[in-house]
Amino acid sequence: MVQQISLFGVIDEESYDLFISTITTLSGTSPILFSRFSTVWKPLSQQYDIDNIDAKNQITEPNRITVSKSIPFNQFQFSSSSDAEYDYKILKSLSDDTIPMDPQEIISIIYKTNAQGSSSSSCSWSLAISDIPAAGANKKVSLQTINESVLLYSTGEKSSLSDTMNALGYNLDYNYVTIGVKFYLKHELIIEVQKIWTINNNNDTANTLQVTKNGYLIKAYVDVNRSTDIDRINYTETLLLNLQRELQGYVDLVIPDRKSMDSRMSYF
Amino acid sequence: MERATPATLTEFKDELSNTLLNILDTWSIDFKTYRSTTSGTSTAIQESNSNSKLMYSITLSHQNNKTVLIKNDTKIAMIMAASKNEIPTELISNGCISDTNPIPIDVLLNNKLSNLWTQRQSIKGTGGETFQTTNKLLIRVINLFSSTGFKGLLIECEDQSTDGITNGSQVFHTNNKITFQEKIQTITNILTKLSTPTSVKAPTTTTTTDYKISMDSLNLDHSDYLGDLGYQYVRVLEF
Amino acid sequence: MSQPTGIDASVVPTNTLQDELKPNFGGIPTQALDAVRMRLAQLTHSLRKIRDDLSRAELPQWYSLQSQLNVTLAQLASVTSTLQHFQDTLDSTVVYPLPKFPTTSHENLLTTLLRKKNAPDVDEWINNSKEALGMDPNVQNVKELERSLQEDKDITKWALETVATEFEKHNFKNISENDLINRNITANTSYKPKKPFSVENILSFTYRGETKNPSEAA
Repeated sequence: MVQQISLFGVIDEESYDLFISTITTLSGTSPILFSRFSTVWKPLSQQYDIDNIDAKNQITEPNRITVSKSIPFNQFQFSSSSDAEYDYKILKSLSDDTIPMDPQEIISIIYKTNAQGSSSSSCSWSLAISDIPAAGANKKVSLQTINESVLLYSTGEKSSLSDTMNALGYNLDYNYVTIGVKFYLKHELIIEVQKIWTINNNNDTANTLQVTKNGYLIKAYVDVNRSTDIDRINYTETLLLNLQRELQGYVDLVIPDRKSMDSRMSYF
Repeated sequence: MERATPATLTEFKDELSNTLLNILDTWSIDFKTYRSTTSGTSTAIQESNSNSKLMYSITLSHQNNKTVLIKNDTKIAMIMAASKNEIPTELISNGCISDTNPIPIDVLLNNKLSNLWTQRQSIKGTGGETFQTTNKLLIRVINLFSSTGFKGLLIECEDQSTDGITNGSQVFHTNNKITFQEKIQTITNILTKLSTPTSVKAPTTTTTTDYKISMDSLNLDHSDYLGDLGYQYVRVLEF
Repeated sequence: MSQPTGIDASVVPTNTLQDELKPNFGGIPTQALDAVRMRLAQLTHSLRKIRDDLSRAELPQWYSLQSQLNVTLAQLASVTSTLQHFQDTLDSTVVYPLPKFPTTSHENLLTTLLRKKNAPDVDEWINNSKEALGMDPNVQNVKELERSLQEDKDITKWALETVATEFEKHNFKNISENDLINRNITANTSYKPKKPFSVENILSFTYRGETKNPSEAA
């Protein structure tokens, strides 16, 4: 269980180079490319009519589970001539709805067997359940509890991720691909610059749509190990606010409305 | 072994002592049963028996505390990591997960998925012993307790003769099954001998034996050490 | 090391000797000698302290060393400027022993004081420092010397300018909003980055799966 303390921002595509060089100078570190495939699963509650209260009479609201894994960069096919070098400039070539990979291929990962050694890429997935960020009108940063677990692999007669999640009582809700660069700053502060695509899967065809069109999502965050570590949380908050002040007037880092980070199911 | 007493372990050890080669690390097990709380409107669930609503989690200290989660009806096993050392680095470096110890799946089920899954039973064994015998059998024995008291004696046998200690040999499922069967036979003989004075109970029918043996494999096409091991535990421990 | 200017320093004891004899003080440049003596005392003290600090097993913090060095350099500059200030007086000062001087018991002191050339160890210091400057120790030509000094000054000036410009490039503290906007003009764009979408729109999607028609988000 980690406390994720974060601030968010948005920049347009023209500002990408400047932002990267700003953060590079600020942090003294180079941008690092990353990519992940996130699948979001919802409980089968619509069919099963789940109560929000468990056997111990505690409120447990149905929550989505985000299951994600990395996409190795060698699986991407970049059209630009700079294929060989995977550096931060790659993100500039990703301005439209398409991702440099067959969306069908990505979707198929969910339904392929997840057994050990069955595919070239790793069969491990991370499971994350995010609580709604902490409330409070005078909150200066977003504070969210995330419960994380790791599925090393599945095994059995049917062992795809889809089978696995179904066994747990979850159905695929939606999924998306994130490609971005990240900076590791001091004190475990991480700044991510993200491009996000949603993958729509209709029968046998899949297409992608960029959610972050014309711009990039900026996420600055620190994961604090224990929610009881108040000192560390306070320190981290100061850290983020310092960054916010440093970038003031250039990129506005804000706390998002906590409702937008609420991954609970809402059945009405 | 169900109708055993805590002392049966000592008796078993005595019987084994002639062929004992080496005593290895201690181990522990945590076996939990979960039951789906959903009212079961799905046809698939209605058709199958109530067992289909069960899910088991087995955490084994001698497997780096990895947890095997097994859903009864779909025969699917999920192997969950217990420490951050086991998390593949690409998950961390790509921001899929934070660089901390993941929470045990049992905690996740109990805290976050408790509206879907209710924990029914928890069987624990601690301070189990591991023996290596002269016929290259790795035997793990442990006394199991639940909240109500002693539950029985659990014995796990692993044949190490095929590929050595590190890899390859499956629990109750090896390439040279015949020899393994023979080795198991010596163990069962001991068990029969021990159980004669006590009253007995078998899984389906009442016979003269009070032990259950499982050599099952979750998936015959693709054997998996941890998955199969977990499944065998479930087969032995489910009631 | 402690007495870089041998000649002037050796004048000092003369002063004390003559004190004892109560001669005519009129011709003695007391003020100049005293000023030089005081500054040299300070300088030797500082230099000794640095030497002691550096020979210790555990080195002092870099910033304390740096401030010490700064003080020492200021004192050295002060010695130089004092010497320059009294150059005429000191150059024309001639040391001679009085008849009462105990020549037998203080022969060494007397010969040192009456030397016209530098003492051998002083010569060695001068040569060493010339070598350290990258000069030919045998070149006595004043022009050569000045040229070398000028080169040295040029390099120092360049280094200072470079440090200043590089520092400004990386100095993001205390920059007003206007500065940043101006900087943007020179860099890449003439405006603050636009926000093609709202943070909440994106997060609502990643956390809740709500899509608000991303193609229209701009």
